[in-house]
Amino acid sequence: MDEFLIGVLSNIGLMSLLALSAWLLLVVGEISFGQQAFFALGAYAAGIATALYGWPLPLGLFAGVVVGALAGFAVAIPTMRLTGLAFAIATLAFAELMRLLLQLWVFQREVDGERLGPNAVEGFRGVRWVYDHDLSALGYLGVIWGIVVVVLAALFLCERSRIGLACRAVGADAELAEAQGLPAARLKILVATVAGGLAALGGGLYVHLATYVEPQHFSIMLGVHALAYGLIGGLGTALGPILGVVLDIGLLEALQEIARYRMIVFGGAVAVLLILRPRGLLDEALVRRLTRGKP
Amino acid sequence: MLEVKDLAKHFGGVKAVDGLDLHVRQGEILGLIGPNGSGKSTTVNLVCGVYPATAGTVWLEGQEITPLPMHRRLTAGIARTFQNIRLFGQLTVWQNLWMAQNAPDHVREQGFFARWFGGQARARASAMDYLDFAGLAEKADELASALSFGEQRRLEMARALAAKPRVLLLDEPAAGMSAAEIETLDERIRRLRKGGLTILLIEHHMELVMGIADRIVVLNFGRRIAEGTPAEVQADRAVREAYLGTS
Amino acid sequence: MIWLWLMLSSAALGQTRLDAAIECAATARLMVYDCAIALADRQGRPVDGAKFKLGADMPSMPMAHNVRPVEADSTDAPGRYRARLELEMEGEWALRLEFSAPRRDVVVKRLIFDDKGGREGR
Ligand SMILES: Nc1ncnc2c1ncn2[C@@H]1O[C@H](COP(=O)(O)OP(=O)(O)OP(=O)(O)O)[C@@H](O)[C@H]1O
Ligand SMILES: [Mg+2]
Repeated sequence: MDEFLIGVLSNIGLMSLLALSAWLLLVVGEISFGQQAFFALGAYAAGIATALYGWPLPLGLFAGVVVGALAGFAVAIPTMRLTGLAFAIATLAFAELMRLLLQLWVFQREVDGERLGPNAVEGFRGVRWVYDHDLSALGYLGVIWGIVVVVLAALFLCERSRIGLACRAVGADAELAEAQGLPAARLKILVATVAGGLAALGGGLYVHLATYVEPQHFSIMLGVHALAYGLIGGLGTALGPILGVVLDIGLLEALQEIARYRMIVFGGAVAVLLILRPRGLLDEALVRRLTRGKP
Repeated sequence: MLEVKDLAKHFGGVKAVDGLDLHVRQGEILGLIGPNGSGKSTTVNLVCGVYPATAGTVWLEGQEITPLPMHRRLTAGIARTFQNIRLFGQLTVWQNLWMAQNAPDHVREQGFFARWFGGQARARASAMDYLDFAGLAEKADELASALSFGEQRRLEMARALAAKPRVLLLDEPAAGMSAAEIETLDERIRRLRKGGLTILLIEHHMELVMGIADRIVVLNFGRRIAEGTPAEVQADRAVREAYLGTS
Repeated sequence: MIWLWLMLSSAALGQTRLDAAIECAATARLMVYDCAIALADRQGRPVDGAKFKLGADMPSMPMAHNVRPVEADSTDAPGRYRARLELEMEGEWALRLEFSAPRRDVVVKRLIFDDKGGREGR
């Protein structure tokens, strides 16, 4: 397979994990502009584990997920009391704080005569596990998409069971859900924890593909895109955010002529879509029609 | 069974409920009536924990439940319907019931994993009993938002029952219904009482409430102005004045 | 399966790392740059006979800007290579040298591009 194509597909897979993380919170009715922070935590944690301490990649990724999930949990506890705009701003503030801290954080270790580790604004270079273990680009693409498929399968399973429906109920009307005996606040915290872990998984995979990250990677731009993918692709199914990623990265990549005007096209498309289809292309109504075969 | 003691709720200067004592006895239908704005719905909201009371306590079977959050009050055994219909319109009829199945009984029967991650078949079957009762069995797979007004009211009642409550709070279940619909509603409520359920019935439709309530409490300006059998209450001077607006 | 393999395959550590210095000059065509790359090992000795592709990523928007990597050509000068790179816009880019020889590796360098060219920043 063409190297360039492998690169694009890898990026789509990685971005999908981040977009799914933001989408999960959209499902329970919360808008987060801060999922990039958990992506960053996953990247740093997994990178430190493999590059500085020589952990195998799966263990490093797992460490990243644990760190991301714990952070997601810790952030959710105070922020879930907020609603709507206040929650969105709080998540953004957290993510920016996180980025500023990463810009200051130096944590280096001598590995094989080379100083490695997060080095403030210089970033974190030399996360070479994939190269040191001679895993091909195609092989790593397989790893990324294998994980995406497993995550999707788990989400589909949830969607068909009571936990998924409970999340949708909380997203539609949290007070009513609570009147039905559902612990809405606890469900939201649970979802935020899972979303944190999921974003961190994407970050862990990303740092091993890119071999380096820097705080600048995890700016608000990344968070806004992750959020927008769910809003474009649709809130009705976990395939929604992936459709959003494919439309942005994939389609615009295919049409190289407009790639330069991507941000304009992207912004315009989001605006038009949110007016025409406020819950995205694959919204609940369409998903229901497709899965039931009923009008 | 259900008791409120010295309950009060003030919205700014509005004393919606003002030092109310109420006792719903085991197995009875207690009618709660009063003019518009007299605090009936606010009382229900306080019992269900929608918002905290300004003062006073709520008791269920001798246990104080005032500190419990809303979702715990449902699992404690209190279910309600809303005066203004509130359903999950994007969920199907039976899924609305599925969401409400949160009583400790449900948890015990099913176990954690089967309950949260299991398939839908068994859950759907158990919802059908309640839908049968409410005459909605054929509509089980329709979206709740696609139902008619009367059907939505029935769905609300079925949903409350699916939570296996010990006390049911009905907030104007007959509002907007036709005479024929009210008659079947009357019959359904009687059947529930026969089944041992304790019911607090808020209703403006006097024929219905006077016909089936064992006792009636009359509210005005958030206070109890009369209590007794339907006949006693109908004969009460203060009640007549409250309803005629001359008090 | 793949996890098992990932766990078991052992590290190829201890080899010398490569270091690169890059400078790019604008060409007559918009957004097309001629890049000169100097390769050296950790001791500063020029490295010849390397095979690598030059790609680019925008740190301000990771994963979204995919630039088609181009093969770098060696030149007569020791440790010196050349590549012609086309970018999507001016600004800060992370150039990515993906080596297939002397061994698989990646070196990342950050450059700031404007209408004159690209220089290593920070
Ligand atoms: N959330 C609220 N905020 C402010 N005031 C409120 C609120 N809820 C109720 N009130 C006020 O409290 C008073 C009692 O309202 P409540 O809804 O309990 O009356 P009700 O007896 O149910 O009347 P109705 O028969 O019209 O349903 C009213 O004056 C109402 O305006
Ligand atoms: Mg009312």
